Amino acid sequence: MLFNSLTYVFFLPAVVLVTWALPARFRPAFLLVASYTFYANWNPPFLALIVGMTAVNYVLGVSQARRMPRSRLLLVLAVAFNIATLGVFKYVGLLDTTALSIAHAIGLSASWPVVHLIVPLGLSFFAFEFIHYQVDLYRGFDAIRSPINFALFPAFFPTQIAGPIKRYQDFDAQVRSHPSFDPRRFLEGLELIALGMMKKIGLADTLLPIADNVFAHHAQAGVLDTWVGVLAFSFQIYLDFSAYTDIGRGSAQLLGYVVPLNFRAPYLATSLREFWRRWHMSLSFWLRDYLYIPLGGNRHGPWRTRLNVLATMALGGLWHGAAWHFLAWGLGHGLALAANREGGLVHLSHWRMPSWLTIPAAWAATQLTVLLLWVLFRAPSAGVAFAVWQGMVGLSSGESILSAADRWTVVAIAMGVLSAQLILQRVNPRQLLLQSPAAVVLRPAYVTVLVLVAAQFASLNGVVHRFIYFQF
Amino acid sequence: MSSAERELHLARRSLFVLLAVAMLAQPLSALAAYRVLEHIEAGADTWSLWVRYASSAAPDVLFVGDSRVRQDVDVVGISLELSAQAGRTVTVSRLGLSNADPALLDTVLYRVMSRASRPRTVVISLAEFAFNASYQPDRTADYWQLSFPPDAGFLRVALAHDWNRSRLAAGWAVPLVAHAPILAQGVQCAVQPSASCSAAAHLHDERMTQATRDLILTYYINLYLRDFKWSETELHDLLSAAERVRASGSRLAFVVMPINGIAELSEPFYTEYLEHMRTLAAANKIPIADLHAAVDKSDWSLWADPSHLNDRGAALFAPHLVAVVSRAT
Repeated sequence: MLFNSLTYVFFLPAVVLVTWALPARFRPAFLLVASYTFYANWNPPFLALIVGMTAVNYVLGVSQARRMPRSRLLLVLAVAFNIATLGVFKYVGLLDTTALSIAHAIGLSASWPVVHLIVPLGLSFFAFEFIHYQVDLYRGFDAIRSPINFALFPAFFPTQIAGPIKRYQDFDAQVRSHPSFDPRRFLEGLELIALGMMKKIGLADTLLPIADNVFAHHAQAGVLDTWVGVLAFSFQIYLDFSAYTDIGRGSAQLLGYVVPLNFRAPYLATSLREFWRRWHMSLSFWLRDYLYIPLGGNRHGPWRTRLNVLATMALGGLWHGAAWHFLAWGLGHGLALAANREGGLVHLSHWRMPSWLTIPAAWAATQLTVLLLWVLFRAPSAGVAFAVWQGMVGLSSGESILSAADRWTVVAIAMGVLSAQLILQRVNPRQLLLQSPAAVVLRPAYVTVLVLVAAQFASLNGVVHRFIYFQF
Repeated sequence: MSSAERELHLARRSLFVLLAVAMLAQPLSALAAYRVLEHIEAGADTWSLWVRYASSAAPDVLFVGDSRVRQDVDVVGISLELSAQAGRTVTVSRLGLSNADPALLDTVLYRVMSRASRPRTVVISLAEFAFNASYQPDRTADYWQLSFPPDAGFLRVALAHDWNRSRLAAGWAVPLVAHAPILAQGVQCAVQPSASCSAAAHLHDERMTQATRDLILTYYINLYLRDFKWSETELHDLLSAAERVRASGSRLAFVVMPINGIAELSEPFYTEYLEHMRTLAAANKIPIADLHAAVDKSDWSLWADPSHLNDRGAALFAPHLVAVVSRAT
């Protein structure tokens, strides 16, 4: 079920109404049924896979919690099970085609049917939440005893398909405390949903055809249009994914739950480290806690640290999709992060410049790196990414493929988003409004206007586009 | 009052305001949307046509079909001729719904025939594109527009016909869902008027040009008649509409309206189509008049485009329709 679909417009209010009408002790069970219905709406047979993964993880978790000291074997079993499930559905096809390509490259006349499995929606998120659960149990945290509460943790529909990746300690504590209806949280939830709808339908879906046009016709696009297309994609993916998170967080709040923040104005970051603390935060923190630190983190000297960063980012890239260009994107970020570390080769402190220029220069360098690396993420292959980069430096014989209106749309959205975030970093009108009597009119007006603008764009676009992160 | 209590109090009141806005938006959206629709479509939208029809007693003769009925049926001319023949006033009306297929005609005829006052004769215009299973027009908005006043029978018929039932029901449950796209189109047309903002306006004295002819014929062949496959559902819906008329005791006839270039471009399909319609009508004892070549195709001053006559063409065509009414059984 898409958050921006008509079905969800009816599904969410129905679930919210029933949830608050039910006695508190029945709510988790009802939310689990609603969440499984939400999942089955996409592909009912895959619900069995999710239920199966949940059952295995529950049994292994309960067994682990009974042991003191905790069993390394059980941890290995649990992690291997989750990685294997993810691997089978997501990466077998990639390995298969790669092996075939290598065989052909070295002159073998090998031929076998290539496996193309459908990747169950949200599998990567399910797997990462289960792995976090099993690792934390091994580290000594207590297990979720109630099977219903345990099943609800990964299945919770507001975060089911594309996160944020939750921590079970926070979530389960909320489930067990049976949150009561809080008008403040509810209103904030509505505001988040309205904002998310506007970001997705009004902005991200407006940028989508522009970015698609440039990446599809990169050979014909001139320098300016290539830059505009890449910029369009960088804002499209941010607005699309942060809109999904807003709607997910808002939906959770309507049900009385708070789920983690995933974005904090990433395009204002002045270093790549800061960027990753602001972009897809729940994934960044997961990678830090369950990959980077177990690999040794920064405890074994600068070169090992850089290697750990590289490995973490490469795997993070591959997590996004079973394609080598995602790995290259992750590696690109890893290399840039490693090079950009204190004492690294290209750290900004090596450059002598006036203090007033330091922050703008750091911002420009960071965002330029991010922008260039988005090409690897968006392009269907590394070859296309190289061609787009060539186009960006004028090495392709391109012409004008975008209209002036398209170019101005991209610039206006990019400037608008950055300006709004800069202002909001200094002034928070919401905080000022919370205590003001004007809130009674202004907050509903804010929600209404956002919904109307989203409806206007939905009507203009005429098509409901999937969220980009649904594929991961 | 502590700041937390104050915040809680304000949030509660904000939620009440929001709820009130959401509830008020439902009837207001309907009122606003139909005004917008009437303006954009120059009164040729399903809502305006239906309200106009339902606001007075049923006519003696009703022509029902797609936009050709709206454009080609000269109600005044036909009424004068029929009145002269009958020696009393014979009222004539038309319901020409853009791109109407038999499913929509069946639904609108349910409304027409379930009124206390019913037409004595109904002439259903047949449109070739409507029987193409490969062309599935989106009808939900039309069903919404025919929904007032609501009645259970209509809801049942509309639900049975619309392939997007959940969206149809969603618009009935939350009218804003049905009306938001119309309001959005209104805003768009106000900000940036385009040809689509007045596409359905009546073509009074427009004259077909080579450019219009080429454009519409291309559009027709590539969109409406592309990959033509007979739609059993639409054939069934046509007979259902016919049965609805007859069950109410009214006389019925089928008519094929004039076209200019479509048949020639679509041969041999068009011959097969006409034959299929004749066989179907004969099997069900419904008189059918094939008037696709009744108007001079070489005189472009009678045509607004390849599938519509202008006012002058409609006036010249009226006697043919008078004959159709006389043959209705």
